[in-house]
Formats: sequence, structure tokens, C-alpha cells
Amino acid sequence: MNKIQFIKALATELAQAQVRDTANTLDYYEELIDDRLEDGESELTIIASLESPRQIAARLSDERPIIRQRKTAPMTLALIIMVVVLGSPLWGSLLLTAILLIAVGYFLIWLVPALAAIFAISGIVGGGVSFFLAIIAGVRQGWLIGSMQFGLSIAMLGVGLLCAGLAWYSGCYLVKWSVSLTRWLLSKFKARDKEVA
Amino acid sequence: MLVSLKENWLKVSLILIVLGLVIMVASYWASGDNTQLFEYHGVHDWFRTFYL
Repeated sequence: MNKIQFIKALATELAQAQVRDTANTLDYYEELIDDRLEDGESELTIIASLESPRQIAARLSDERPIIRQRKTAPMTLALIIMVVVLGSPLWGSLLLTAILLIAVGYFLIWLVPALAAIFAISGIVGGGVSFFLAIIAGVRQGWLIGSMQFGLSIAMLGVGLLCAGLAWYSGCYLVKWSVSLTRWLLSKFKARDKEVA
Repeated sequence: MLVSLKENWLKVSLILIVLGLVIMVASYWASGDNTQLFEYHGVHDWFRTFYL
């Protein structure tokens, strides 16, 4: 059984066992397999070391407690709504600040690959153009100026290529990092099951 | 070529930078350390570059 077959079988078993948090469980096992694949293990070894999809589904359905939620009284609900509306100038501004801080954080971390990409484009384009202009400069202004221009164009191409590599690898790393950070942030807003007496 | 460039981009870029600097320094030395030779002698008003 390979990874895709395992995940498909797990999805089927989870649906049959009526496990509620199916998406999270599938994500967890997918990431677990990916992490171990990155460490150099083979798909077959990883899947053989895990429980079977049926066992996982059975374990998770046993773990789920029976949830009995008490209904909120209408007056309590009205009171909560009133407090939320009246307190909106306070919590609204705090929420806006938090959102802006998160947005600034994302912007700042993406500034590194963005700047590197700008330097890469200018270095490669400028260096390429300068490379051909060096010939004209050499013919018109003398070989010393031409060779200086030629050296400058080669150095610019080198800096452009260096920045291109930096932009690519930092971009790849930040995509992974941003996805995991977003998942973590979203998980903080997800409802969790709890037992209510 | 692109595959080898992708694998050796760091080496290639560092070699290009060093080579460029070597050529620039050699050109400067060959001029007899004459900085005036590489200075701008044109009459273009750079402050008006982006204006009509």
C-alpha cells in the first residue's frame, strides 16, 4: 500500500466509523508520512510501521466522548450579545491591531525574497545589457573603459544569479513556513470538543 | 546547461563575481591607477533624467 492508497483507505474507514475530525486526522497522517519520507524512509516501510486504517478509525471513534451540550438560555444569549455589541469599541480595536500585526509579520518575512528577486532581476537584466554595451564602450571609448564595463557586467550577472538563488530558496522555505504558521493560527480558532456535564 | 546552472548556481555566481572584480581591478591597474579615466565626462543633467 502506498501513501495515496493509505490516505484513501483511512478516509473511507474514518467516514464509516463516523469520526468527526476527519480532515485533521488525514492532514496529520499525510504530514507524518511526508516528514518521514523527507528523512529518507520508503513509503512501504512507513506505512507498514503505522496502524492499519481500520485500527486508526476504531481507536479514534473510541476516543471520542459523547457530547451533550446544554442549550443557552435566551436571556443569557441576549446578555452576551449586548456585552459583545457594547464592548465592540474595545475588542474591535484590539482585534484590528492583532490582524494588522499578523499582516505586518507576513509582509516583513516576505520582504527578504521579494528584495532578493528585485536584485536578481536588476542584476541579470542590467548585467546582460551591460555585457553588450561593453563592446560599444570598448570601440568608442577605448579598451580600458570597455574592459571595466565588461568586468562590471560579469560581476552584476554574478550578483543577480546569487540573489536569484537566494530568492528561490528563501521563497520555498517561506511558503512552507507560512502554510504551517497559518495552519497553527487557524487551529487556535477551531472549536474543540469538550464534555459538558 | 540550465540543469547544471541550477545545481551549481552558488559556485557559478561566486565565480562570476570574483571574475568580474578581477577584470575591473586589472582594467584599473592597466590604466595606471587613473581614476579620471572612468569618471563621467558627459553633459547630461542626471537630475532631469525622468523629467521632460
